[in-house]
Amino acid sequence: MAEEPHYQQQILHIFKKDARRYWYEIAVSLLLLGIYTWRQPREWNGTPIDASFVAVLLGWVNGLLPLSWIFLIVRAIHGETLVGDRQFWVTRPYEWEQLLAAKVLFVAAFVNVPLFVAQLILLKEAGFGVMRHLPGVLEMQGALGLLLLLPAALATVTRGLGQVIIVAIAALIALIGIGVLVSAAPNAEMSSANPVGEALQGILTFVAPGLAISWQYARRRTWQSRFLLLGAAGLIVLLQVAAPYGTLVKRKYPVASAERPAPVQLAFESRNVAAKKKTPLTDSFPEIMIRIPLRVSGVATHELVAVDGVRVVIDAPGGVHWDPGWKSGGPQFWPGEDSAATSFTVKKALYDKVKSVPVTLQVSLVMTQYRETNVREVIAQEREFAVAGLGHCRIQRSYRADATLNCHVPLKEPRAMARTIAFASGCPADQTEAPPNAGRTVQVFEWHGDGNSVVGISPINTFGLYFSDFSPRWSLPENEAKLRLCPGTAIRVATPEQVSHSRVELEVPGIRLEDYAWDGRG
Amino acid sequence: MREIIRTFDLTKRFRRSHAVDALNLTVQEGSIYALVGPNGAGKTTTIKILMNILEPTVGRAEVFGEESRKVAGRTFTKIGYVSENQEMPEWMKVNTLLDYLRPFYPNWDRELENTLVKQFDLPVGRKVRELSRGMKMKVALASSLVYHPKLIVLDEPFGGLDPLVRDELIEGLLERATEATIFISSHDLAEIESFASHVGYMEQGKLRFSEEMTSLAQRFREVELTLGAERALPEKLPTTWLQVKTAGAVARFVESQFDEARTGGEIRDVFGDVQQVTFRAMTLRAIFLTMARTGAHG
Repeated sequence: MAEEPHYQQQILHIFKKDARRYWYEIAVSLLLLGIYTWRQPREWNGTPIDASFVAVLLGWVNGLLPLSWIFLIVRAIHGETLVGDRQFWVTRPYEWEQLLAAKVLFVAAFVNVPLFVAQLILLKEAGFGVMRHLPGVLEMQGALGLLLLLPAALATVTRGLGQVIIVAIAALIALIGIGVLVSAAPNAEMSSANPVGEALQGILTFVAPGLAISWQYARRRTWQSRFLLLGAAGLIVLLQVAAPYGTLVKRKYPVASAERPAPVQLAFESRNVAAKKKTPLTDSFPEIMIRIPLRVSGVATHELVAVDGVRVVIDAPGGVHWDPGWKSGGPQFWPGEDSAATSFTVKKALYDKVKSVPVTLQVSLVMTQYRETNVREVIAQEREFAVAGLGHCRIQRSYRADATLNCHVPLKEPRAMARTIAFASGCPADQTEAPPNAGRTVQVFEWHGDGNSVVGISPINTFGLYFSDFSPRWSLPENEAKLRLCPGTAIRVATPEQVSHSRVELEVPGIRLEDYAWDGRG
Repeated sequence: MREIIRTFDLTKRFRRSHAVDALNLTVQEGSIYALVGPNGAGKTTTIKILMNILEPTVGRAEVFGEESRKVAGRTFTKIGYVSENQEMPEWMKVNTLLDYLRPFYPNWDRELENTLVKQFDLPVGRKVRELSRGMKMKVALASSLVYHPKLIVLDEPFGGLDPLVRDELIEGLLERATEATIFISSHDLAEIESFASHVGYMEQGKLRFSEEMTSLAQRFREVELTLGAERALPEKLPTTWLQVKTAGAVARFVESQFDEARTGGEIRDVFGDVQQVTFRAMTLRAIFLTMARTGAHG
C-alpha cells in the first residue's frame, strides 16, 4: 500500500518527467550552446571559419540558440498546458506552486546552468578573470531570466506550438505597426527625455508577464491573463506615444543663457556654393537629406559635447511651415574642432516646393556635455593588447577600415572616449599609395558605449572603435579613409563623465535648401 | 449521511446561453448518483465546475464541503475523475503513467494496481497514444481507482464503447463502489439503470428532478385499464396521471405517484368499475421519455 505523500517532492518528480520527455529538445539546445561556445572566441579573434556549407549553417547558431531556448520553455510549459478544460493533469493532485517551481527548475537546469558554464568558459577563453566577473555573470543570468519571462508568459496563455507561432507572428506585425505609430508620434524619438516613462515601460514589460504566469498557474484564468498581457502591451505603447516629449525635452535641456552658457558655441557656416560641384539628386529619393554646416568653437579641452537630438523648423514664403518635431541623434563636438554639420531629412515633395526659394530654419540642438576622466594612453601593438577600462583590443586590418580598433570587454560595454594623434607613429608606407598623411598630425575621435550591462548570451562584449575625422570636408574625398592605426600609434583613452544638459537654438535665415542637399559627397 | 456534493443556484453562462441554470443538487455519501439528460443538457459543465475546471458564473458548488473554486491539489487525492474527453499524456507508456502518478497519491495501492492491470488487461508496455478508445478509458479508470478515492466522478465514461468494455468498466467500478461515492453523467439511460442508486435529470441547464432510483421505480407505473365499454375521458383527471389515452374500451396512462390503494381508488373515482387493471413497472428510459414528452418534472 501507500507510499508516504511527498508533496514537496512534486517539483523534482515533475522535473524528471519533463527532462525525460524533452531530452531531444534539451540535447539540441545543448549542442547549439556547445557550437556557440566554440565559435565565439574565433569571432573575437577574427579567426577565419571555413566557408563551407556546414560553417554557414553553424553561423546561424547565434539566432538558433535563443530560439531553441524559447522552444524548450514553450514545450515544457505546454507539457502541463494551462489553457483548455480537458487536460489530464488538472484533476490530479498537482500543487500549482510546485508545478511552477518545477518548470522554473527545468529552465534553470537546461538553459541557465549550461549557459552559466559556457559564460565562464568564454570569460576564461577571453583572458578575463572568472571569479572576478562572477557577480556580473549572475547579473546577466538574471537579465536573461527576465527576458525569458516573455516566451514563458506566451506559453502559459496558449495551447500548442501552432498558437505560439501565430501569436508570435501577430506580435511581430503589431510591433511593426507600433513602430510606425511611434515614429509618427511627435517627438517620440526623444524617449530618453522621459526616464520615468521608460522605467514604467520596463517594469510593465517584465511585471505583466510575471503576473500572467503566476495567475495562470494559480487559477488558470486564461482570458484574464491574456487581457493582462494585452493591457500591459497597450499601456506600454500608450506611454511611448502619448508622453509630452516636447515639454520633457525642454525641461531636461534648458536653453543656454548668459548664466548657463552652452558648452559649445555654434553658428551657421554659410557655404561657398560655388566650391561644391553640384550633383543632380536622383528623383527616386523619397526623402532628401539637408546638411547644415556649423562653425564650432568653445569646446573645453578634455571635454566632448554630444548632440542628443535635433529639431529643425522650416518657414518658407507662402506660409509654408514645416515642423517634424525632435529627432534623436546628432553630431559630436570635440575640442579643437572648428566645423561640423547637422543634418535632417525632408520629403521630396516639400523639398521640390521650397528648394529654390530662401527659407528660414530654426535649428534647435539638445546636447550633453561630457568630461574626460581616468585618462590613459596606450600604444597600439601588432597583436592583441590590453587597454585599461576597454578590454582587449587589436587593430582591424581590412579594406578602408585600418582605423578601427576591435575590442572585447567582459560584461559591460564601456563608456569610452578615445582619440589618437595618428600617422605620427610611422605607419609603414603602402606600396600602392603615397605614405598616408606623412608629416601631418590629425586628431581623430571616437566615443563608445553607454556603460550598461550586457544583456545577451556572451559575457564578452565585442565592439569596434571606428576612428574617423568628424570634421566635414566639403571638398576632397581623397582626404577620407587615409586614417590608419598601426603598431606604435599612441591612443588616448578616457572615460566620459556627464557634466550638463543644454539646448542651443540657431536661426538660419535666407538659405536655399538645394545648396545644402547632400548628394553623398563631402 | 454526509453530503459529498452540493450546489447552490449554480449557474454557468457562455456568452448568452445558460449551460447550467440555477442548479441545486445534492449527492449523499455512498450513493451512486447518475446525472442524466440529453446532449447539451449541462451535465459536463456541471461536472467541470465541481472539478474546478470551470468557474461558475453565479451561485456556488461544494465538494467535500469545500468551495469548488478551491478544489485543487491535495483534494484530488480523494477524487477520481474520468472523462470521455480527457486528454491523457499520450507520449507515456501505461506503466510509465502509473509510475508517474504513484507518488502523487498517499493512498496509492500497489496491490490494487496489479489487480486492476490484470482485471482490465492493460498493455503496460504500450504508449497511451497507441491504445484504442476503450483501452484508454480503462487506463484512465484504473489510474483513478487505484488510490481509493472517496469520490469517483465519471463524465460520460461509456460513450462509444463496445458493450464488453463497458461491462468491464462497470464491473471494475462497482467493485470499488462500497468505499466511494460515485457521480456519473450519462445520456444513455440503459447503461446506468442497472447500478445507479440515485438519479438526477437535467435538461436545458436545469435539474428537472433528483431522486433515489428505488423511489423513482416505485412511483412510476404504466397502468392499463380494460373498461366495460368505450368511454370518453372525463375533463378532470388526477394530475399524477400522465399521457392518458383511450382506445376503444382500453385506457392507458402513466402514474407518476404510484400507490396501489390510492391509485386504485382514483381509477374507480374516474372510471367507476373497470374489468381489469394492470400495473407495469417501467424502465428508466420509459420514465424519462414520459416526462420529456409531458414536461412533467417529478
